[in-house]
Amino acid sequence: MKAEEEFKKASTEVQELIKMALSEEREVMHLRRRAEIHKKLYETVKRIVK
Amino acid sequence: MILERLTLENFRQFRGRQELVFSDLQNKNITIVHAENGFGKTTLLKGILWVLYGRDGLMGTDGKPDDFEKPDRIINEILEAKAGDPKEVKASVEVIFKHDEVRYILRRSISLAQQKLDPKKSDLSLELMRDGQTYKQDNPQKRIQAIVPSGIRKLLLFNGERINYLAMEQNSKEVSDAIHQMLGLRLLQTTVDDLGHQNVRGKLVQDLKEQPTSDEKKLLLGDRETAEELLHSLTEEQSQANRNLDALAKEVELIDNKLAANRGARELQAKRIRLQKELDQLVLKKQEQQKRLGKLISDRGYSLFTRDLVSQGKKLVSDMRSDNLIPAKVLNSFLKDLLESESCICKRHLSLGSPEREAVEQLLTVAGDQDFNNAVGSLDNAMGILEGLQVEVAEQVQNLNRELLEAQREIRDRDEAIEQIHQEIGDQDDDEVRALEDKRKSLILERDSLNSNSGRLGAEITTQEEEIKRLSSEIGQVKEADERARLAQRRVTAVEEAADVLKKILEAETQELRPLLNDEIASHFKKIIVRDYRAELTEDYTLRVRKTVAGTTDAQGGETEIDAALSTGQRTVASLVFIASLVALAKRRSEIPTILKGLTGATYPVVIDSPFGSLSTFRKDVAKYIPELAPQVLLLVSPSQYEGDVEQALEEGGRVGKRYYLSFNGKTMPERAKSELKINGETFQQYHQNDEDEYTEIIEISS
Repeated sequence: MKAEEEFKKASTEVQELIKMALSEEREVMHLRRRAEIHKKLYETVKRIVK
Repeated sequence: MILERLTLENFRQFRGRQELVFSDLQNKNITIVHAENGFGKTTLLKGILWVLYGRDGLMGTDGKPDDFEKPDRIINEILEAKAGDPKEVKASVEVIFKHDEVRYILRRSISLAQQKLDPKKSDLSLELMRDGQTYKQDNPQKRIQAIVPSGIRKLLLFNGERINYLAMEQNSKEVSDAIHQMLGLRLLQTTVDDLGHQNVRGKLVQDLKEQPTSDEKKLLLGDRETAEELLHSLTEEQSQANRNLDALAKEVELIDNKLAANRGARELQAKRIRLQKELDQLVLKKQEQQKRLGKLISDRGYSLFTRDLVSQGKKLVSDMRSDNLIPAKVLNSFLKDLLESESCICKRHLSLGSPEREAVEQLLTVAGDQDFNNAVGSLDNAMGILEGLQVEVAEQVQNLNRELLEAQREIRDRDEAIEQIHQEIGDQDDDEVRALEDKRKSLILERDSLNSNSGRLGAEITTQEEEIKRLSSEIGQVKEADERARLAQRRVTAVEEAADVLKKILEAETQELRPLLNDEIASHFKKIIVRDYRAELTEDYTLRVRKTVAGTTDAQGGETEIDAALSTGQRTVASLVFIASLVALAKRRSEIPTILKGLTGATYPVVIDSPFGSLSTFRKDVAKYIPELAPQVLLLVSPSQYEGDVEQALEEGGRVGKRYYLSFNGKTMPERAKSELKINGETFQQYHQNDEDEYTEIIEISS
């Protein structure tokens, strides 16, 4: 599957970031207000890339 | 999700408690509500949208009121006027539905007090029924979003007279968005958008700028910021240009209609419309031919430049053959073995300096290599293939060029004929006609100029996007001395890479779904329009219909196909087919590989307000096909759209499980409505004059 290949090509750090971002987004993707998820994503990047 | 029962209580004109039980039988999956325009069809559709999504459901996708007036007045107006305690007067909508074998009761209500205070807020409850017990669900809106995400509502609950936009070339983004929404890929796009947002990536870039970065990087960061600002303004400008183009097209259409209604200009105008359609088709055909020619040149065009190389190669091989160099009579590997073992096959000793050894060494000068033999054989074969390909490609290029020239000539003919009509209409005695034609001409000139501007903006956008990519790559390569700056850079790179990978994943998943969708589209489309037409989803997500031109052959020897210039009816059919294909794929989603976890198959109903309004000659065929559209279908239909072909087709199909009509009570009947409704030979009184009151009731027609 090409999508899986693309994912595996990324570094472990980026893979981790993608997984975390998707799991955080899943809960709130339908909401119009995005401020909270933006804040969460910003913190997630800082937490993963140290 | 399969709808079971809808109950409206004091919702807009539905006063008191009004109930509609849906047919949930697989073989009788259609529920029809018959109603004159103005009796409450759209309100019924909005009732379902309100219970599912609240006030958002009443608005269009752009957040504006759509075609639903006063969306903040949910409670029946007469009841509101007579109200005592505003806390006691309430409106509600309840829907009972089944999803994944579980029954749910969803109820939304609003009191008059709340409506006056803030109509956007309402009370929502969701209960789940299992083993005879009812369980209240926490966070009901979230649960509903998981069952039927708001993004797919415009594909499941819609006005049939407006759905044709999906099959318009400029709406390919809507089409790919529909695929993402319906097949669970929306999550990827939302994540990409959020990662790239000013508050995520933008903030991380800001963090980087605040670090002690090198002058080189500061410069590059500044350049990228400027490029991003420019890209933003170009994108805005292009959207505005496209909106202006839409508005201009509507103005031209208005003038065309006026000219078509004028006795003196009618005939010429009809001819111009026909010619314009032909011209549009020819332009599409020419674009298609140019695309094919481009593909042919890029895939196989190299063969045309190998003529000299092939003849030289063939001469070389032929010379070697005549010199007996190939195929080799003696293999050098065999001679080398003899020399190494110092023993000939005739048992003579091949010692160093001996005449026997010299004789064998002499043979090495004429010996050949087995690998060389094989390579020359392959080369010879490849040259033969290339020679054949040259002839084939040259012929195809010639044919395509001939077709292109022919299309160009036909385009010029139509252009001239259209110009001639402009001259004739513009020369008429009627002042009004002349003024209309004059206005039309200036609009057309403005449209052409806008089109060219939009194209220029598109090219500039591409250039800026490439520039941003280049600058981002350069920024990432600048080595930082400071640890904090390095970390800040790594974070920016990670967020950009994550968004990039997600974009690629989304593209790969969507592309993998395309052939599956195309199979569905082809099979659904055949059920409605059989002859000479075929629908498909192109690589750039345009929903198009192809038409075979009888008695012609294309460069590949097959029947020539052209893009059909679609009427509103054909576009509506193509859009319905596309929705049906998405609904069918959504049902078997769990069988289709995806990187996303937890995507399961889902059954969806389709609710259409005025399904047959824009179908013209396709009404009967769509009516026959409509049971295939989704596992459950609710049709809200006016008598004028129903009687005749639609009625006959639906009756013959025998798939209507439940039937209702809306009975309207009021002082005056809406314009063009009739007081009696005739369904399958039976007559029903659908309008009741009432000088004191106004309301609508849902009445079941027993089968």
